[in-house]
Amino acid sequence: MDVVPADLSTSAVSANFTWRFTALQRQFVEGLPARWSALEAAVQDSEVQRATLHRLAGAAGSFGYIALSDAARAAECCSKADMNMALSKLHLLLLNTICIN
Amino acid sequence: MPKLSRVMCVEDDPDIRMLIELSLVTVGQLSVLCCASGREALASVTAFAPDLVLLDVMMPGLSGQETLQALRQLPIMRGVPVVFMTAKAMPAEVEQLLLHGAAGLIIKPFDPMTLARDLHPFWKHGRGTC
Repeated sequence: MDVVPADLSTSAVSANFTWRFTALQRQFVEGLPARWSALEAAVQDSEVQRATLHRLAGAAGSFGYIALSDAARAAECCSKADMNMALSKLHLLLLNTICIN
Repeated sequence: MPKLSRVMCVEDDPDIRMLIELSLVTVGQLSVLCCASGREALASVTAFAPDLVLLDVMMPGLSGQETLQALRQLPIMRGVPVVFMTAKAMPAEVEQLLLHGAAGLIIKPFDPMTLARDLHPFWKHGRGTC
């Protein structure tokens, strides 16, 4: 049986993970316009809108887009009166994320 | 000594679901079954026989809490720890979730490089007590 040094084995796992993570990250970014459309479509239903924001906040942060996650969380938690402002900020960050990736 | 090897993940967001699967399979070297809803989990749990269930709280249809209640009725789930996954982590909400019988809580966003490692303490301490 071949003995694989621990550090080599770890780096192989890491390389495999990084390659797949990058692909999933790209897929997440490609799906951002659809997430925004879902938010716009739910404008009359605050419960659906907040659930959509909740999912976006969790996903964005886990993929490393912390500012986007924070903006989604802020919109999820803000009052109805502040929602338009929060969504505008989120939209800008979302477009920025799409542009730089 | 038994070790954590089979994890069922229940998460409605497809991006997060794939990330959890990648994390637990590639980094954690675990067998993973991912379900998109509580109903799907209930239909698959007996055949998969997980060592631990990772359960999203906020899902359409059956919520995380409702799914947990239903899972607990199944004999295969006796002694199997359930860990909630949530973006909301106010202390009162955490307490509420633990009162539902969860072994613990993973907060979103999570670190995909450490998720498998983060589940181990819940498995070690929660096993047999649920």
